[in-house]
Amino acid sequence: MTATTVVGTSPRRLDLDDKITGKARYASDIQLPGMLYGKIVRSDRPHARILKIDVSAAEELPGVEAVVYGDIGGYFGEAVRDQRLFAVEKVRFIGEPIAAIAADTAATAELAASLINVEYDDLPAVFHPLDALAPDAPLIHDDLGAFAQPEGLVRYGNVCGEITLAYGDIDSAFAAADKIVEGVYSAHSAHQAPMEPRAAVAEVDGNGALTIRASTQAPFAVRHQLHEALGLSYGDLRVVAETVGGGFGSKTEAHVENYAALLARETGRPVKVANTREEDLSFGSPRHPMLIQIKTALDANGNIAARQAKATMDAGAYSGGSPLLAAVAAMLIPGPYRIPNLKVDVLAVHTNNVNFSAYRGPTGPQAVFAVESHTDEIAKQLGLDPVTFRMRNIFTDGDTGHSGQPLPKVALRETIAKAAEAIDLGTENPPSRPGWRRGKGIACGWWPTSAGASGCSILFNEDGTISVQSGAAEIGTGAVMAAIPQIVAEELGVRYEDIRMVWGDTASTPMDAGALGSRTLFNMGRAAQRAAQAAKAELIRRAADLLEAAEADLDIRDGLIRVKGVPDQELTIAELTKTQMWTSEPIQAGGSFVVDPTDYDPSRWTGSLLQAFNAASFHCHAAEVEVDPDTGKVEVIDYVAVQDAGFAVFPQGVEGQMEGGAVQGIGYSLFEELIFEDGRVANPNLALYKLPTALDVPKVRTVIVESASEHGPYGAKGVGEPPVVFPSGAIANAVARAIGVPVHTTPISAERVLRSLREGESATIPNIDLFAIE
Amino acid sequence: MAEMADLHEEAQRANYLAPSTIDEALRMLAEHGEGAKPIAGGQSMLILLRWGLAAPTYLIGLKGIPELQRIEASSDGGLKIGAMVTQYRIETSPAVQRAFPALAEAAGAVASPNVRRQATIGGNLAHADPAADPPAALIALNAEVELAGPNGRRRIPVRELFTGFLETAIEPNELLVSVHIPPAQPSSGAAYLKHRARAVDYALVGAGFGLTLAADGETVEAVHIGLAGVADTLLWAQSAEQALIGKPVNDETLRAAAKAASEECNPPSDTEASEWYRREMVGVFVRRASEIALERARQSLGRTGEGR
Repeated sequence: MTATTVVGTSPRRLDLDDKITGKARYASDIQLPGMLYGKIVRSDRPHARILKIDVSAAEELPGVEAVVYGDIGGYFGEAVRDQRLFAVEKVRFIGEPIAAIAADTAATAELAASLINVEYDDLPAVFHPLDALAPDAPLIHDDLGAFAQPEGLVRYGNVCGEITLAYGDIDSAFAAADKIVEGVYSAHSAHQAPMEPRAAVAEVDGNGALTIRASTQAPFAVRHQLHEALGLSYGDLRVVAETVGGGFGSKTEAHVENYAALLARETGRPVKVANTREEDLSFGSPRHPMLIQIKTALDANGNIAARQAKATMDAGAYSGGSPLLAAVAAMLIPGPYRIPNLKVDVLAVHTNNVNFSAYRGPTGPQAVFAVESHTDEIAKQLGLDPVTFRMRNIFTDGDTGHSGQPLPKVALRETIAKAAEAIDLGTENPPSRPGWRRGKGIACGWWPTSAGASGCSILFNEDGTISVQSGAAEIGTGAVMAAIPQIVAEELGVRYEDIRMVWGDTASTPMDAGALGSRTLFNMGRAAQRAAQAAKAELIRRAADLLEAAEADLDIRDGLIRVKGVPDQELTIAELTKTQMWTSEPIQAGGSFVVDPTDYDPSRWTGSLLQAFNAASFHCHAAEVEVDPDTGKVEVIDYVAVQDAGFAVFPQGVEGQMEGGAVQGIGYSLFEELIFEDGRVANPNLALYKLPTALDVPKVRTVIVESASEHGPYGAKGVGEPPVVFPSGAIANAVARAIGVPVHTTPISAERVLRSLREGESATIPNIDLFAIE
Repeated sequence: MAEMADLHEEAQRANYLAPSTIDEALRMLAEHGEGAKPIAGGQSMLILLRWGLAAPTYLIGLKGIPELQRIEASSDGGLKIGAMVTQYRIETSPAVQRAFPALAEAAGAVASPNVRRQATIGGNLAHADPAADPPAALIALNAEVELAGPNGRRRIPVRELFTGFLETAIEPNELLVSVHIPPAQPSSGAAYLKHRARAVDYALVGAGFGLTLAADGETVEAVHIGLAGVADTLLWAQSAEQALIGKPVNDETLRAAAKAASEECNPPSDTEASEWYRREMVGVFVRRASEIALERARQSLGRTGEGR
């Protein structure tokens, strides 16, 4: 391979000036002539039969243009089609939409919402997965089988998805074990907290076709859900992603978009629906609360002989992404270790809480907290240090993953060694005050790069500038506004500065599966690479005529088409495109990509919608903490993230993801918790929901490792999610080391640490036995 | 973005009045009665407006009144701080840092650096958030507030200012115009310590502790303790004071004071911490603040002694 000159550097992002000057337009900034304001009226009951909905007072309020509710539209949902626009017979969580209002001002819509009177007959409600699994638990849905759903899902009672990953013979291995270590862990829910709450503006044309401008991570997925919910043709639905003020998974499905579209259809006028911060926090799709129990058999050499694990995820009232994400949990809970005999059960369970769904690295922080705490416990019981035990048991090159997938290259050894070296693991630093406790900890693991289709088109303008059309959404990572143009510039031999991106529009850009699952650059990068290669071939074909040279003798560099070995015999792209564009056929090219599925062993899975980790990346995070023994307060003193990026196309962007993800993960570990009290979010504002500030986190040190993937552009792997996945484990292990007591429940609040110091390990161990659940 | 626009809209609903003297502000208060609310830095008032907890017809902005902007030495050797002085100015004032480090510590513990450049000492006291920092330090410093009303001025101790949740002894027709801190005694010291989850949070527990030693350098001649975040209003910890007054200062008496404080407070259990935890932390932070205050009192005594 020839040396690259554009990829692997960090050019100025194409959206930089817009964002830092405040000129970038967000969906909630949009004002259209005649625009109305929409408001969603929501259930204030967790579980109830709807007896009557009286909208007359709201309809009579001056300024109210539409009130819609009831049996409207079809079923939709990410994996299972179990959701509707409005609750019809029952409400199943606090916040379930009952009606939607369009009015001339936001204040009128708000007032009208308060005038809608709903009569309920309350039903027994359940808020905890273990209560929902009890034999006499009220059913959230009468018949789970009635919904359209992918084949192979295992669903019954309140179980929204049951996944089993198993091979070997755990019973014999446990019977023959030299030592058995067991632990149970509880990990909490958290809110994505993008700076910009969800927002969408819909407008309708004379033919009834809708354009929805939204703050979304996945315009094509949102269009699909709008199609299912509203029953409109895909062709009559145009979803445009505006500048996205952060998503972190919260904007992968249609939420406010549905209601903006419905109200625009109803009124014939543009309608904006924008969440308040309180609505975003209360009625979003937060991280799953999980209970995880792990039991490990060790052989006489201290290596893992077998592992059994069982976990519950609170799915909330509707399926959302839970049936799919349960499989991610099943892949992560065993840890990145060689396990000869394994059985993992994951139950996604319906409750009368809000839907829990995609949050950057879904199920990851919960699973890693559990398995990496458990790993340190094993090492401690064996008298080994955390690195030695891991190095003996981690996956290595040529191993087989838990579901039977081949692992040709595993960068774990390198990431662990670099993290341990950077934090100087094994050396205890003195505390800053007498009596305070210091400790260091690590957590390692792997993470998939999600697959999914991507398409890209390239158009040439008269002056040699290039428009690249991509259906991917730029959600802040720089994948679309730096890395894609870098790839096009690299492949085409043009200047990065000459590229303009057109992105995230279902009507004018080729399809992309969305900015989710760390997938954008891996998939769209290859589509862009192919489009650029096709465009280059086309440029050379046209130039060969003009230069009277053979195509094989032409090359393009720095925007110049040259004849190899003949100086002066050259043509700028501008000269070529200008002459061709108006007199000949305009020059355009396209490329698309979908990755080959990763092999796996089907006999190991039951009920799973995801079977292997595509282009797995490998990681190790290390933390040093200090604990005030009188208060239990934990301060993160030093933090190191080591990440296998495959190949860093835009290194500054990779570092940004690593720093931001680590901070988000530190927030999850220590401060942030979405607290539910009988189905109601008890801390729905940013005073009570505690995001870490710049004053609460150390400088995150980043180390990029590059272990090339087979299919990604230049070997790149997904980068966005994994940095948030590993802090929970690293910090839990550092705290356990500092105070001499493992912590079994997150977040690791000062109060929990103080109780651990006073009462020992039992203070935070959840009083449950998941293995006893039939 | 949208939220800012809403806020703007709500603020616009009230008429903003801009008096340039205290008398003018008092006349406006008298004229508009309950429909008027004074606004200082807006740290708290804007939140009340945003949440619909206050809906005044008139907002009386106090930033144009020069008298409220001053930090000045009192004739008795103490310090007078105008109500509109920001937390940032107090935190960074050499005069405050030198004579009353406890107040500089408390002002510097309010919210975030950006909020402190807007938030004022008078607004903080008048709003009477039970978890506010400066009042606890001012109780420890035995400070008074000066109130201006139609019948003239009156002064009351800060420890008597707070009457309930967001409620004070300030009459509706009065304005809080300044804070008076008495001169530091030769053998006194005070400190403010705060416990919170994040750097920008309200106090889980805030402890202001002020102490004056008798000439023997051992006996507690005077002690003032204010607590933030542990009751429905700012707490004057009288039982803790009683545990120390007139007694020799030592591990046993300081421990007794911390225990008394943790027993006399009445902290909530909420999403941030349990009542149990807050009580424990009152004990820890009263003790820690007492040790710093004692250290400062002894240093002060040492300095005075050398001077003789």
